[in-house]
Order: sequence, then structure tokens, then C-alpha cells
Amino acid sequence: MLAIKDLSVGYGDTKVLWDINLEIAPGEIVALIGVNGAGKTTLLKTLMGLLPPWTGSIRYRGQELSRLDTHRIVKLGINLTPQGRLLFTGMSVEENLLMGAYLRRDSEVKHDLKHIYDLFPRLSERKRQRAGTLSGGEQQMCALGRSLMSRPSLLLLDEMSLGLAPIVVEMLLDLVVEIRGQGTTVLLVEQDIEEALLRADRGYVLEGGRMEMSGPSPDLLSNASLRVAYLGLA
Amino acid sequence: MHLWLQIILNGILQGGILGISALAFSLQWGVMNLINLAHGSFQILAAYVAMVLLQRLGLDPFLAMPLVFLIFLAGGYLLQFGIINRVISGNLFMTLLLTYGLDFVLANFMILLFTADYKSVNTPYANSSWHLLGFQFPIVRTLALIFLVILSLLLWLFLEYSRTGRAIRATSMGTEPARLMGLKIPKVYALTFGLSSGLAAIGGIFFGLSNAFSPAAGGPLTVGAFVVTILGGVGTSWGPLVGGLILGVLDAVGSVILGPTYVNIITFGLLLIILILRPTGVLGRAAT
Ligand SMILES: Nc1ncnc2c1ncn2[C@@H]1O[C@H](COP(=O)(O)OP(=O)(O)OP(=O)(O)O)[C@@H](O)[C@H]1O
Ligand SMILES: [Mg+2]
Repeated sequence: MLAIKDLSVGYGDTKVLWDINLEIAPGEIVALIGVNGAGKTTLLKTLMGLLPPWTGSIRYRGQELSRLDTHRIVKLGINLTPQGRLLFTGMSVEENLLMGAYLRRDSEVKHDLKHIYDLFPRLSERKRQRAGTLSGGEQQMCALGRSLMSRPSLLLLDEMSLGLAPIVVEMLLDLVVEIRGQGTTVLLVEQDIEEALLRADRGYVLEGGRMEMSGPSPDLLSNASLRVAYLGLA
Repeated sequence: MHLWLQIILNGILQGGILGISALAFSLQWGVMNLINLAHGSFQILAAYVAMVLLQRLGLDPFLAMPLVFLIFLAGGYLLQFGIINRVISGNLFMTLLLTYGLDFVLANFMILLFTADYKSVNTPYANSSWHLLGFQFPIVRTLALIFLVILSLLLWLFLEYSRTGRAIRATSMGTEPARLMGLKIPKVYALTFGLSSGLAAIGGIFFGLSNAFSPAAGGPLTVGAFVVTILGGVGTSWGPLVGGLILGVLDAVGSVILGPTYVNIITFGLLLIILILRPTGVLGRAAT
């Protein structure tokens, strides 16, 4: 579905990603793991057309993405729930959700809105409230809901769990599995290797801007050096 | 007593023209973080257009208003799309420089076409007033205040409840998330600048109907819009009305106390105070 080949990206004249290769098949949950500053967000921004690639290619369903504008990429069904959520804080929760459906012209937007409220009753209670006044967990639900409102085929999730209580993280990650069950392919970016790999089919490990490791989740979970590096376990 | 009430009333009515001008200025500032130094010259240009339409075609400025609005809307859209968008994502200094240059070009263009002499839009009602309860209501200024209330309401409804309006607000709160929703930022900006240019033109027509003007009159209008915008709050739909009334009344009362030689002294005094109190703060994006 998505194939990234030999991708290099940077800011100004500083290279941040070196020769990245990554593939995602339809219906998969793929985890992308890496510590702070590894380049995870940079990769996702490049996928969304927010950063121009230096070299390499990004193909999605056979189409080259690397020179497309962000709105074209969104139209193709790729959606990012960005790190830090980036909600429209001065807008109500409902308006944020509707912004997610901005490009949609079909008649089922209302229906999907109700679906989001069923998924997140907390958002339903606060639909008229300004998004900036929500708690961290609620904001993350709103950001995820906003992405879902676009009916993405490929959903990119950037560190949803950042700063949230473990119970909310569990709930959100379990929901990701459910979303995949409904036909959405997911690229899950997380720092918590265990939580992510327990839900993902496969994983990639990004270190200092290079893809250092990849494989099926169980293999990565039992990989000794990873366990030492990320879980502090010997 | 009665005299003072009339003076305050004059100030309130003057607030209409100030407010319409700020409606446009504040929209540009709030949405695009753009401080448009050519704003006043846009308005003076609209006053000249209304003057020409009246003199050549006999078209009443109020009948010409929708036409002038549309011309400025289209012109503003193209200007933003073709030129301003190229520098707007850079730093604020670049956009200040560009709009300063634009102001210079516009002012000289107007001198070339209309000379540097003072002109006015001479309608039969330009200097007449309605009388009510012993008070004088200059027709043009009274209509300007009514227009301001209606335009503020329409703008608020548009921004709050239309799909495009919501896109404009979303963009004002962050261009990156807006792009992630599939918005085309250059188009949103062009639309915003077009809309505010149209509003500026309406303000300019009202200004031309109630004041004599020359190509150099744009500067004080820009400063006035700046002060009103700060007083009312950047990027709010009702701020221009609030700010316009405040500055209008302060100006009217001030010029009586200080004497008519000191027109604009209140406006420029407030500008100075604002710059001293929040030298950097005023240049930030509105917290919507
Ligand atoms: N706008 C920017 N300009 C310059 N350098 C940047 C910019 N954004 C990120 N970087 C650098 O690029 C590298 C990768 O950053 P990135 O945000 O992609 O990492 P990350 O894996 O998402 O980290 P985190 O887990 O902290 O979010 C870092 O060294 C960072 O300092
Ligand atoms: Mg990141």
C-alpha cells in the first residue's frame, strides 16, 4: 500500500533521515519505534507533504507522493494525527471534528460524527466546549476523532500516548486495533516499544535518522538488544 | 450638557467609519498575521473610484458600493495570490516591507491620476444631517455606524457558520493543522485578503463621503485602523465596533478640549502608548 524507498530528508542543510526504507501492506498495523529526536515526526511530515524529500521515493497505491501538495495527499486518503495534537484550540470540539471532514462532500458526515461520539462519549458531552479547554486525554481523543472524520485509508499516528495516563493510552491503543479491524491501515509511531508492538503486526526501529531494525512484532519484542535499549531489561 | 452629548454622539458616529476600516485591517492581521501598511491607501483608492463613478456616470456612491466591493475583492484576491503569498510565510518584517512598498506605489499612482489636491465625493446629502430629539445625526456617519453593525454581524455569521469561514478561522489558529485537513492555505489567504479589501473599500467610500481626501490621506487611516484593532482585540468580529466607538469618542472629546488644530493627536498618542506598553506584544498573532 505504502512503499518508502531510500528516502532522505532534512531541515535547512542538516540531514535528519538517511536512506529510509519502509513498507506497509493494506490492513496492517505497523509500529515505528524510536527515541526522542530519532526522526519519527520528520518521516511522517514528509509523508504528508509538509516537508520536501531530498532524495528517494514514496509510493502509495502505485502513485508517487513525494512531490504532491498536502491537500492532494489528504485527498488520497492518508491522514496524520500529529504529535502535540495541533487542535484548533479556539474552536469547539464539534467544529474540530468537522474540520477533519473538510474535504468530504458526501452525506454521511453527520453519521460519522455520531459514530465518533459513540466511540468517545466524553467528546459528546463536551461538543460545544472549546477544544483548548479539554484535558490532555480528551484532546487526544478529539485529534484522533478529527482524523477519523476524514475516513482515512492510511492513518498515521504520531505519539498519541505522550503525556497521557496509562489507562487512557491503553484505551486509545486498543481503539487503534478496532479501527484497523474496520479496514484502516495504521502506521503507529510510539516511544513505548512494548505497548506499540503488542498491537502491531510488524515494527521498524529508527535510530539517529537511520532504520536500524525491522521485523514481525514478536521477533522485535524478544530481541535482546532492543529490550536493553528501550526497556532497560537485561 | 447638551453640547457635550452632541460631541459624544459625534464621536460614536465617527466610530462607524473607523470601525469599518478596522474590520478589514483586523481580519488580515488576525488570520494571516499580516499588518497591511497599504490599508489606508486601499481605502483612499476606493474613495477615488467612488468619486469617478459619481462624476462620470452619475452613479450614487451607495449604489456603486456593491460594485466597488466586488472590484476590490477580486483585486485583493489576485494581489494576495500573486504577490503577498510569496513573502507571507517569511518573517513579519518582509510583509511590512512589501505592504510599505505597495502603499508607496498606490499613493504615487493616485497622485499621477488625481493630482495631490484635496478632492471629495460630492453628493447632495454629504453634509446634511437628520435631526432627532434635538440632536444632529450627520447622515453619512450615521449610515456608516449602521453599516458597521450589519457588516460585523454578517462577517461573524460567515466566519462562524459557513464552511469557508470555518476554514479561515482554522487557518488563523494554525497553518500546519489546517494543511493537514486538506486546506489550501494560499487560497484561504487570498480569499481573506480579497474579503478584507472589499470591506476596506466600503470604509473608504464612507470616508470619502464625509471627508476631503488626497492621495496622502492613507497613512492616518492605517494608523487609525491599527489603534482601533488593538483597542478592540485583534481578529475578533466585534472588536472593530468596540474599538471604533472608543477611539471615535476619545477623538471627538479630545479635539474639543485640545482644539481642532490637533486632529489625530489622540490617535497618534494612543499609538505611541500602545507601542511603549507592548512593543513586541502587539506584533504577535491574535489568541483566538
Ligand atoms: N523544524 C526543525 N528544524 C530543524 N531541525 C529539526 C526541526 N524539527 C526537528 N528537527 C531535528 O530533526 C531531528 C528529528 O526530529 P523529529 O522531531 O523528527 O524526532 P522524533 O523522533 O519525532 O522525536 P520525538 O520523539 O521527540 O518527537 C532532531 O534532531 C531534531 O532536532
Ligand atoms: Mg516526534
